[in-house]
Parts: sequence; C-alpha cells; structure tokens
Amino acid sequence: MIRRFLQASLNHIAVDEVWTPLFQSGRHDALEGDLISKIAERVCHLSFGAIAQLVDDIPSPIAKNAGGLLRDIESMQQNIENLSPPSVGLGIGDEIDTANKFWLFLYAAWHFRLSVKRFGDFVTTNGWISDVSKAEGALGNLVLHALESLELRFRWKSYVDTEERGVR
Amino acid sequence: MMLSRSDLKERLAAEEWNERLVVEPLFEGSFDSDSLSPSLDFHLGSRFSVLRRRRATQHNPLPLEGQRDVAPTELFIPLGKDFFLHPGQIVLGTTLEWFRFPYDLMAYVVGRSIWGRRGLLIVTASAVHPGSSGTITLELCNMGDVAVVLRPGVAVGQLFFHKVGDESRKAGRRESRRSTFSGSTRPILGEYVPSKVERFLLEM
Repeated sequence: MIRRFLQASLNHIAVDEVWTPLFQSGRHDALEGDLISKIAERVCHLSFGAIAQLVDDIPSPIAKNAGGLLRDIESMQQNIENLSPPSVGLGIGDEIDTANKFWLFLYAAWHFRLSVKRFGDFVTTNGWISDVSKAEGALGNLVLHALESLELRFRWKSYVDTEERGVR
Repeated sequence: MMLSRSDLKERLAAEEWNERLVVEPLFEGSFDSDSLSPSLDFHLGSRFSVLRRRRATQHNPLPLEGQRDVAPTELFIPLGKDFFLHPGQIVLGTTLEWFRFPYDLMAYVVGRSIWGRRGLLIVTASAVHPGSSGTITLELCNMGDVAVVLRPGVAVGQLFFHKVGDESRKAGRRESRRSTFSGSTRPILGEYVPSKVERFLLEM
C-alpha cells in the first residue's frame, strides 16, 4: 500500500532499490480488506498528498542531484565496497562545502547498509558471513576515518594556503 | 620487486581497484614524486592500547582452558597532546593513515632512524599482506633508559612496497580477504587462532 502511494506521489523515492526487500515481502498486501488496512489507506490518502507537496516545495539536493551529488555518493559507496574510506578522491572546497560532506558520508553509509545487494556482497567478499557485526564495524570505521581525514586535509589546505600568502 | 617512487604514484592514481593503492589522508603536495626514496612515510595516529599489569602477570594468547591474557586499555590521545612511553613499556598504536592494498602489493613497515636511535621500536610484525585494508597496528616499545615523548602526527615510520606477482591478484578475485584485521582502526591485540599444525602440537 505504501509502495502504491509512494509510486503515485513520490516516485523518485519509491524507485530506490533499498526499499525493494520491504516492498517485495508481500505481507502487507495480504492484509488488504482488513479494518487496519482500511484505516492505513485512509491515513495514506490524507497524508501523502501533503507530504509530496512539502517534499516538492523543499526539494532534496540529492533528489535533484545538485552539484553532482549522486556521482559523489556513488563514488563513496564504491570506496566502501573496496574497503577504502569514502573521503578518498573528494576534493577539498571551502569550509561549508567540506562540512556538508559529513551528511553525505552518513547518507552514503546508511544507503549502503540498507542495500541488501551491496551490503550482502560486502559481507561475503570480506568473509564476514558468520559475524555481520564485523562488517558493520568496518563500515563505521570507514566513515569515521573519512570524517577525520577530510577534516585533516581541509586543515592542511588552509595551513598551506596561509603559508603561501606569507602570513606565517 | 620493490616499487619505486614513480610506481607508487601510478598505483595511487590507478583507476582499477585491483591495482589501486589507497592512502588516506594523503596530504596534498606532501608526496614528492621526484624524490629518489622508494618509501612512503606514515604518521602516528591517536589511538593506543596500553597493557595493564595489575591483574594478570603474564601474556598467554593461546585459547586454552583456564588461561587469561593481559587485558589492554584503549586510549585516545588527540593531535597536539603528548603520550609518554616509559622504558621497557610496550603499547599498541596505529598509523594515522588508512591503507588499502591491492592483491598484488605488500609492504614492510620500517622505523625511522631518528626514533630508533632514541630507543623506540615501532614494529615487530613488519609485513603488511596483499589485500590488507585499515590502519596499521604498531607495536611501540621503548628500549631506552628514559621516557620517549610521542605526539600523534609524528612520522614514526615508513613503508617499502613490493609487488607480489600476478598469482596473488588472481587469488584475490576469487577469495575473500578474510583478514582478522580488515577494516580495523583500533589497535587490538587480536584473537589467537592456531593453525591445524599448531593445534596438533599444542594438544599433545
């Protein structure tokens, strides 16, 4: 039911593959016709239109692919897949641009974790099938290291720029 | 074959993941490819593991019944703060950098003489295997008579990279990394997993 409403109102969210396992479970469709299902349908009818309008009025930079964000997120996820911190290859911009990468790392990491295919391959490739918490630990380490590295590289760039201007 | 400076530069810029060496953070302009030195300096990180001697009096990593190993305590020393390593003391540290090795590269960790001459050893298990990924754990030991002051960020050692051969790369495509320490950033003692031969010998 939620899939139907998402597809109708917010299709760019519904097409994201991280939702596929939830949508394909089929458990919720089996409840159609029940009282709870009817109430849920009524809630969806009343709320989804307003939510869709709200989301469209405040567009997500990722949904709009502002500044090539989708390319950056894909690059981050490829780094994670290969046990490389997601900050690798990211250029250092100004302070606000660098600080915003924090949210992008978190988005990329969560998206990676929720993707059954990508996270499953990550677990298998690295031999963590018997203990998935090791894979989650590695994912956390990769993101934390990326944050620390990005800050250090930003500070290094500021340090070098200041030195070149002869301030030091 | 040991990799030259220009080989390293190529590996750091490689597009293909099966050739790509990752060092993060790599400070822009700090890797001078015109240098003749084939090594890459690394820096001391902020995470340490100190072995407390109060409860256990001996190391015994073997997973035998009734045996207990010395328990470590983890410390975080921020950049700009000092860590004192006392004579005879051994602590585990990590590199500031995360290294990701392709399957056809390995490296040896070597201390810098500026520290070695003051009694600091940084590593005992010096080989970093192909396919490894994470920060490198250092075994820091003060062999001198006075304390050594360490500050996260100092260049304590260097890596010399070697090409292993194509067979290793092919193996990497088929098999998982399966390293106990893959993806790790903490200086941990590690669980001792005896080989079949070791189990046979130990249980005699």
